[in-house]
Order: sequence, then C-alpha cells, then structure tokens
Amino acid sequence: MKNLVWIASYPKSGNTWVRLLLGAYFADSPEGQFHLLGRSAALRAVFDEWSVEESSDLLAEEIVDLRRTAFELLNNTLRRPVYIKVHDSFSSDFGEACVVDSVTLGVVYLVRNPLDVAVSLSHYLSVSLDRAVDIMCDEKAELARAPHALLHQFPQQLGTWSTHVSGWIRQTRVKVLPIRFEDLHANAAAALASILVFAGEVVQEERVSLAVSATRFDTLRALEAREGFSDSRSSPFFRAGRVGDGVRTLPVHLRERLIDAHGAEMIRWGYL
Amino acid sequence: MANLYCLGGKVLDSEVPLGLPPVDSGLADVEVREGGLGERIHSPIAEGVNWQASSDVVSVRLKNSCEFTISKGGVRFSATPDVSSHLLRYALSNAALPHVMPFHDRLVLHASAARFGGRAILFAGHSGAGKSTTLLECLRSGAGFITDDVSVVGADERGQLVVWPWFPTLGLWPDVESHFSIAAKTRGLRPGIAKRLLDLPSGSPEPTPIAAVFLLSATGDGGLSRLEGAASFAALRLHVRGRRIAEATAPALLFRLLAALIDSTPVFMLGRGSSGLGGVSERVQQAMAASAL
Repeated sequence: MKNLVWIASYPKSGNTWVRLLLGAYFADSPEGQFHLLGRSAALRAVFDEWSVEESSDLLAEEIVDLRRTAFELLNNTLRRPVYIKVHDSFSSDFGEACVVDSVTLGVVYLVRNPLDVAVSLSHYLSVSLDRAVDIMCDEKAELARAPHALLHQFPQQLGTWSTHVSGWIRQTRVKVLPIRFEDLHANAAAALASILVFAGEVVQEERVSLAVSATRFDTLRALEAREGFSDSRSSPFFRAGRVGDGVRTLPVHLRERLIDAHGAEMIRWGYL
Repeated sequence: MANLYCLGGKVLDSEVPLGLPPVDSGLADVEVREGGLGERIHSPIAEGVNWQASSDVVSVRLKNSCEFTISKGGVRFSATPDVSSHLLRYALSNAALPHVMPFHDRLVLHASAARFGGRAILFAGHSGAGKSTTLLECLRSGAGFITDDVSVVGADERGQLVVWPWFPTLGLWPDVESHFSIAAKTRGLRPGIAKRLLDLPSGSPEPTPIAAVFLLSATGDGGLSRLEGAASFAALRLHVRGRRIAEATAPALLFRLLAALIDSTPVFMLGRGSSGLGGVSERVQQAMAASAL
C-alpha cells in the first residue's frame, strides 16, 4: 500500500497553508488545528524515530539510503495517506532516494509566481530582496545548511526556482498534482478538494468549508499573534499571503533578473 | 579480567573498559561481551533502519562498524578492526546499552538531566532541540551533571521516580563550544562529523528524584506551557529513546512508567525563542522557576 503524499514546493509557496488546510480538514475541531502541521521530510526526528544511531552521528552519504528505508518503514505502519512537506528539489539526494514509487501515493506540487516568492523569502530569511533573488537563481542553493551547528532539520538542496519547479513537474517516476498558489488563494476549497480526490479521500463538502474558514489568512495571523507559531523563524510567519506583492514591491532590476532567469517557466505557469 | 561498573542502577560486567568508575564487587545484572552474535531475527515484531526486535532480543547493525545483540542478560558485540575503542564505547553507550534498560524495568528518555540540590530537571527533545546546550548552561549556573542525551528513569526502592547517571560525556557542536569557550576541552567523534565530545568527571552512580520534565522545542517563541493529562503522556511518549524498540520489547513497562511520570512530575513545553544560543540562560531560568527550584 502506498500512503505517502509529498507536499512539495519551493519555500514560501503555500506549503504550510496547504498542510494547515489538510490538518483542519482531518481534525475533530477545525479551529484546533493551528499547531498540527504534520510531518516534514526534513525533520531529523522523523529519521531518528527509526534508527538507533542519531542522524547527527552519520555522514551525509551514510544517511541517504537509510532515509529511504525510514520512509518505507513509516509507510508500512500507515493505513491511510499522510501528507509530508518537502522543500528539497526532486533531483536532490533526498528526492532521488526517497520519492520512490514503492511508497509514494503522489506528489502535490505548489508553484507560486517567483516575483512574489522573492518578497516572501526575503522576509522569511531576514535577507535583502537582492539576496533573496540571488538564492532563487543559485543552482547550489540550500536551506538549513549549518556546518558548525546542529539544526533540527537536514540540509535541503533547492537548486534554482526554475529547476525546482521543472524537476518535480516533469519527473515521471510518481504522479503529480500541480497547484498554483494563486489558484489556492482564489479558491482554497477547490484546491483542497482536488488534493483530497488526488489522494483517494472521500471529499466531505462541509468539512472542506470549515477547513477553509479556519485557515483564512486573517485568522491564521490573529492566531499567530496570540499563540506564536512553531514553524516560524521570522516573525510574523503569516505576513501577507497576497498575490502580486512582487510586481508591486520588487525593484525593476530584480524583476528583470528573475524574468531573465526563470522566464520560460514563468510563461508556462501564466506569470508572464 | 572483568570490569565492574554501576550504570542505570544496574551492575555491569564489561570486557570493554567503559571509562566509568569501577565498583569493587557485585553480582552482574548486565554483561558486555565480544562475539557470540546470534543469527538475524527471522520474524521480528518490529524493525528499523538498523535494528530488528523480537520480544526479548534486539539486533543492531551499524553500517561498517559494529553489531550488537541485546537482551536482558546484556550486550554481545562485534566491531570491524578500524573501530577505535572510543567509537566502540560511544556506540555501546548510545546505540546498545540504552536498549538493555527496558528489560530491567527502566524507561530511557531522549533527555539530558541536571541536579539542582537533591532534585533533577530533565530536558527532553529531538535532535537539534538544544538538550546539551541547556545542560551546559545549567552546569554553568552551578547545577550538577547527571546525564546527557540518555536519561534512565525508574522507581527506586521507595517507589519514587528517579533518574540514574549515564556516561559522563556531552555531545555538542562547534557553535556551542564557542559560546561556552570550551573548545580546548573537547575531542572529535569521527572524521567528517562536526560533533564534539566533552568528557566530564564521573560522579556518584546514585539516582536523583525527578522534579520536572521540560520538552524542548527547536522552534517556537520561547514560551513555557504546562502539559496536563493525555497531552503530556502523548508528548512525553515521543521522547522515549528508541521508542519503537521499547514498544516492541517492553510495551507494558513503557505505559506504566510514562503514566507514573506524568502523575508525579510536572511536564512543560519550552520553546527555543528567536535569540538562539543567546537565550539559553533565560531558558534555564524559566525552567528553574517553573520547577520551584
């Protein structure tokens, strides 16, 4: 039985929002889902649960195959789909090793206008807009790489924004459902229902409505202000969630840089 | 020649010198011997990426280094010739001996522990949550070292829940070394791994009553919140070291001791906060205040 549904995306493309929607849909109380983010593939704890050696005691090349085995073991314990966040590119060590047909029910891939991603990424990483654009154009870009510290996440290989999108969308190893952030923003109920159908779930319209209502952006922002948010490295995590921030905010030279680097993929997704 | 030690409240007879204070005599509860490894477990009731378990035996295979067969009687091991005595001792202390303890009525938490007066505070957390860093800050504040990363918990002869010391070694990373200015005192674990080890003087093998347990979060806003009832049981369960193994070999013990722990001991969530290493002192102050120490 294949039970793993990877929620894959470049950072700041709606991954947390989708997982909150799913959490709210499956929760007994949709309002109580705020801290139920579910699993992230990058968490060391997900690997350490299945190993007597902690991941921090192992070399990267020793872990690759063991991580696949950990997801196989996790899959074997499941009786229904689980949704797992992934920011690694498909061609990363992680994607190559772990996103395999034997355990993968499917991939939900979230794509967002890179101009908007740049603005959001700059806030999230607390870096300049120039630096955010650098990262999105860097083939060797990574998240959570800290050679002198132990982070609770594995390093994640991103590559450029374009290679991230094209890698996940055009791979043929496992089935993929692409969802644009802009469509999620315009009609979250339809996006959630499409994910549920993709994963073979029975869609309950009333639960979909409750989940959408519980995860409206202003609701999430108010909850974060009151309770904090566990996934945040920047404050606030739920900042704007708008469509079109990039066009409004990015200086012309950065817009041009992103379009030069990612124009072909932007045209495919209707961003140009 | 036998090396007799006291570990987790049990007498250990080891062929391998473990660097612990020797005890003069005693009937061994647990033996550590080279060789005599059994066959792989053919029908395991649970398995992980590098272990298999039946109800009374755990088999561990670490890639290109050591193999262990673990049972109530102790640990049988084999190691490849290039495994140093330090690395073998580390593997025994982290990957083998903790899994003996549930056979002896001991629950092992993925936690560090510090002694304040005559009581212990446990800091449990997943890898990267800051257990060792918080422990170092406790030591700097005058607390006593009990254990890093492996907290052996059980009932003493009066039925009180206590934590026993483990190996007196801390695992830490260069940023923490630098924060505490202790780089000169540490040693490496193995080539290619940035983790450093800090050896501390061995203390008394006697157990310490537990005052409170803090579940450290690697993220969050640095807030402190008390967990109650089922929520504390569920959260604490995720911090059982080798949980999948313990659930296979000693499920009743796991339930009984976790239930006893949440019944007798306050359990808190403690977030890291945004100031990283700079906030660890505040974290310890919060923990001490909440524990009424």
